Amino acid sequence: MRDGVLLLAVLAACYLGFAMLALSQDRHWYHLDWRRHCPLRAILPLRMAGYGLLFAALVLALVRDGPGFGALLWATMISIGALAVVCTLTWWPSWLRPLVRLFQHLD
Amino acid sequence: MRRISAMQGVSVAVRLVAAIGGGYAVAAGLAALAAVVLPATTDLPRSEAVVLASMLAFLVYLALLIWGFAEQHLSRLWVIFATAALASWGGAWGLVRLTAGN
Amino acid sequence: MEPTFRASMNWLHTWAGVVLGGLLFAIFWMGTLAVFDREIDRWMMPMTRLEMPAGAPISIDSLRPSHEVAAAARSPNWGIIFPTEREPTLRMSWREGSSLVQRFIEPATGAVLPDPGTWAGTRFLYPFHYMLHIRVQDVGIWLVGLAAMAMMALCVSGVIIHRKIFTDFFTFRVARKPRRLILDLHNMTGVLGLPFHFLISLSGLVIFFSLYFPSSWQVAYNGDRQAFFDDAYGTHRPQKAGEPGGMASFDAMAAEARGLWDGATLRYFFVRNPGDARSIVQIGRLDQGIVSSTYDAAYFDGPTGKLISYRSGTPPVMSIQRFISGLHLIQFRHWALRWVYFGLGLVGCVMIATGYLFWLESRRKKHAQLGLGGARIVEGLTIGSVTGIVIATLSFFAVNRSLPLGATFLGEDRAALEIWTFYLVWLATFAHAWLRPGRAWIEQCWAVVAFAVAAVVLNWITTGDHLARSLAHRHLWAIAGMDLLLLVAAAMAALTALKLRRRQATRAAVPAPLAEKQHA
Repeated sequence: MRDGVLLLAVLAACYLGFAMLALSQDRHWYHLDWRRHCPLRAILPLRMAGYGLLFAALVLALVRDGPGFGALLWATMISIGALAVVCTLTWWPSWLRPLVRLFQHLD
Repeated sequence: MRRISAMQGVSVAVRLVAAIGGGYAVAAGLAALAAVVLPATTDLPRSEAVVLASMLAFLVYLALLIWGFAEQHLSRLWVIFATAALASWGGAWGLVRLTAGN
Repeated sequence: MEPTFRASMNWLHTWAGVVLGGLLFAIFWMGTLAVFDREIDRWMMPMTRLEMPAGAPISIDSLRPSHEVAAAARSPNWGIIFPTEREPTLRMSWREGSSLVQRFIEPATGAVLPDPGTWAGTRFLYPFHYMLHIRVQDVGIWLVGLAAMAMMALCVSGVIIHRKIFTDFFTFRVARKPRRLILDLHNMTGVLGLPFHFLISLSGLVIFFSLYFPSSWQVAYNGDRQAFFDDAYGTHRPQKAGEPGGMASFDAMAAEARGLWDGATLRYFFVRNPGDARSIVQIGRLDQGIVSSTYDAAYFDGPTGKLISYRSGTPPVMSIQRFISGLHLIQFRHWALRWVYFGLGLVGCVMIATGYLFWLESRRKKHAQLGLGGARIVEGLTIGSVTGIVIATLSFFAVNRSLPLGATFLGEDRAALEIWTFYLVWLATFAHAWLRPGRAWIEQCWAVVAFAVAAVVLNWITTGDHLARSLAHRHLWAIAGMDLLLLVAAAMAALTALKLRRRQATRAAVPAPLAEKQHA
């Protein structure tokens, strides 16, 4: 049970981390936010949150599986997370609208 | 695709031999040298030195491959690889002779 | 060589990719399948679809009769590999002359299972991955080594030539022209999977460090390979006395070995020079809870059963080598990671295929303009190397479920017939690709669908382990996984074929296939 939850947490952290990093790039934000540009004040928080989540994923992986497996799990999950974000942006971009709304107000 | 002249073809072949073959020779020579120098100068056991030298050799070879295809002048490439190969292999064998003599 | 560094790297990336693309795809494809090689074994050898026994492990001494057979045949070794969750049978082997004799034993009863008559995943697909089944002068394993070095060079050069690697990090334009889509897909799978692609290539090479860079041990140990292995792995040089000798109790030796490692599970029990007065028993430890491949072993004198030496724990540098080997060989127990490796392996296959296809598409226009004919041959080679090897593999699975046990034909045994099928079908896909330009991609996609579905249906007919049944029993989950992946492969191939046909229908001039390679 704990293992399952932690695994999902690692994946979620990787996914959301990369999602935020993607949104911090204007071309992806523009595509999602009904033709508005990414607010300048949102870029830094998005990037920091993104990298922060990727780091959190590493911590979660190490907690779940220890140093050896944990590092390996993280190193592979970041690829999976990034690929998942690209697929989301391509085919189901509306899934990331909540994130856009979250950071919109920083303008 | 433009037709390749014979000269260009030879040049490519020479580069391939230099980068792939020459690069390997240099990497292998450096690995041999390291495997002999490390146990002699540090207290790293011989088998450990061999494993370390061999593992690093792959990365050294990769770097040499990249350089082998980036270097503008083929002649410079050959000279450097030949010198490095001779120096490393020579050094390795030389050290073995020296330490065997002790 | 070219005026700028970037241009040189472009040249390197293009030509290394073109020349070695087919080989790289084959290695990556077989490697991806090898992630589940033991599960493929269960699927292809139905008699081994057993539950792990609950009670005490069977006595090794009860297997003595076959040890005597091996000794009589003067086999250099006789060994058993103990059952694990992924391989719930005992695997016993020895050599008779030049051929390997292998028997599968039911762990609960000690009964010998009928000869499966197949090399399946662990003896065909997995060795194909690291040595291409070309044993002559180790040419196969060296070719794979060259391909691995090339893969690393391709990764490095790929990053260097990718102009907008960060701006395009998350970019994938599906709606654009095929060439743009193929390039985007290649960049996406290449960049996002970069840690995996680079590390898997490097780690594969590191496993065989003593083969690929022998110079270090040759110079340091004066050419004595066994002396290096003894030092590094704690192995024992097997020596023959030439006279026959008895054998002490196997079970006693196994029990003592277990005691050395605080009751750890054992991985294997090998006898070197069985029946000889100086035979040695080598017992290995199993640790599926660490990444590293552990080579911890205990050595016993055969006739007396006395412990000679044992290795427990490894020095620092060797530990690093074991960790790196372990992260490639993945013999550990971690299902999430195993599935992730499988997924990333497929991503690697897509990367290689799309790279090859992009080059093909870029060349096609130029070739058509110049009126050159070589494009058809290259396209044929591409199709055969990509969909071709996939079809060949699926035909390997399908024929496995079609041939009866003990089948022979023209002097070839059942296992050989399966392998013949693989190679002949693969050859046929090249021929098909060359003979049917323009239609080949679509038709081969449909062939994937046909063979994949046939394999699933044949498994149901010949073993009765259909999905409802295999999902319901834990020990049959491997079968369920295989069947499900086959069906997913069929679905994706069908979708690809339909998409390709739609694209072809909307194109007036020469058809330009796009590729979305996702196969299981």
